Amino acid sequence: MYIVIGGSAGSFQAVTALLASIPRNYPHTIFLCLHRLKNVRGGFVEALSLKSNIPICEPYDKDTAMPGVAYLAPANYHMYIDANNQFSLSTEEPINHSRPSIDVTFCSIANTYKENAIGILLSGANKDGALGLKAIKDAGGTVIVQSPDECQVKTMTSAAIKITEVDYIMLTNNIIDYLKNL
Amino acid sequence: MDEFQTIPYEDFRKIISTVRTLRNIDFTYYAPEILMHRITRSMYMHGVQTSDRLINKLMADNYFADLFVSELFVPTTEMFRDYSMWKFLEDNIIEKLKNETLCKIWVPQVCGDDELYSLLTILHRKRILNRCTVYATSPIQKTLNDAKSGFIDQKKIEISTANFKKIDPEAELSHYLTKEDKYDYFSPELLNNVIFLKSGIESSPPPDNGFNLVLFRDRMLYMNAQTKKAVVDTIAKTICNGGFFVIGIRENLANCDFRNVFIPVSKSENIYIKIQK
Repeated sequence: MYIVIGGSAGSFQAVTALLASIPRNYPHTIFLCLHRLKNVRGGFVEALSLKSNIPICEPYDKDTAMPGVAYLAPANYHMYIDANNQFSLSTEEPINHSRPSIDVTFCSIANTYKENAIGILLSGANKDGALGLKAIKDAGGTVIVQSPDECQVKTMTSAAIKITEVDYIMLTNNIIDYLKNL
Repeated sequence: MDEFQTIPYEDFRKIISTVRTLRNIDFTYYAPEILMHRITRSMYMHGVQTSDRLINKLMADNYFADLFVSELFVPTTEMFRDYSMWKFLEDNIIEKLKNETLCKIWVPQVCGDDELYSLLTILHRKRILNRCTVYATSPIQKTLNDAKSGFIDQKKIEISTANFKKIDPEAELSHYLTKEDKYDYFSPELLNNVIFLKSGIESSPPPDNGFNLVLFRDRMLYMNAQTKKAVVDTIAKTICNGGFFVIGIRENLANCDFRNVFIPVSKSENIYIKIQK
């Protein structure tokens, strides 16, 4: 399966908890699209890697995605994935004031992996990710939203719930159980 | 319709084919995922609901066809994007080029073009611009005209100024800009040093050879792997031994097998030097 996680303001805690719970040699591929500072290239991978059991890396353009690795969208680039599991990075205009945009990555994952995609949307302060999550659902994938009650900022998750009949609204701990049992 | 809506692959092919017929530009070299988004984004922006309507509009409206094609290219984002690269370029590469009597520089596929303006700024700061021949090329006349005009989107000024300050806290980007009817333009005086040529890197011969520097950042992102390899091959032949090749910080030459042609000067900034074969 191909798991894509999007998050913005207030999502760091949940993302680190998810990554810490994923076992070594995880058979699935993980994509992370998190809003981040545009001009700060270093530090984020290192911070996420502190508790993670699986390697985390920022892909270069045309790199191939492999199972058991979490790929973080690089600062100031949109991240697409094509049918050959190859990354396409882009400096296109920001979407929802964001580059990387969660909608871009989610829609790309939806187009490429269809029913094999699992989209997870976490805390955030704008509506980026809502359309992308809908695209995953429409393409036959599974969509999960962090419970807005648990989110530090619920704008993003509420926007997604408003336009998509999501499969699960879950607390972080339940998302962890879901991912472990995949 | 939203800008992420996909169109059937057959329609996608028809649109590319129409563009090729109308404007002699071949987008089959483009990274398909991104091209699909560029097309649907443009359709969304112009309120064109279906692929058939788009094709009809392209064929009936010359102005729209030019606009649409120019929108398929991704513009540069800001001046001095990745400011640490520009700092490295100014302090290490341009500093070395100061020893050359004459310098040839090529900026292929201009689109925007903040990269060109940033380069001209540091060449001027290093006082070698008058010894440089700078070529800026693009297959699209509109993007060339835009680059030539020096127009800079107001929204980019703040971030560009902040980036420039990171390179030199004392420097003022405003010294390189002029204002006309409330709009900002890059210095026409510096732009006079540029030769603008309509030329597609994947389809036309290079404007010259023996280049000391080719600045080609974040342009290969939009090419498929095969075209990328061919383009790097073309560029490699135009760079003189000891000349420099600069690519975007998340691009790589790994799949191009150019280990015997280029070696990195700075891995983190993705700057390469051509070595004697």
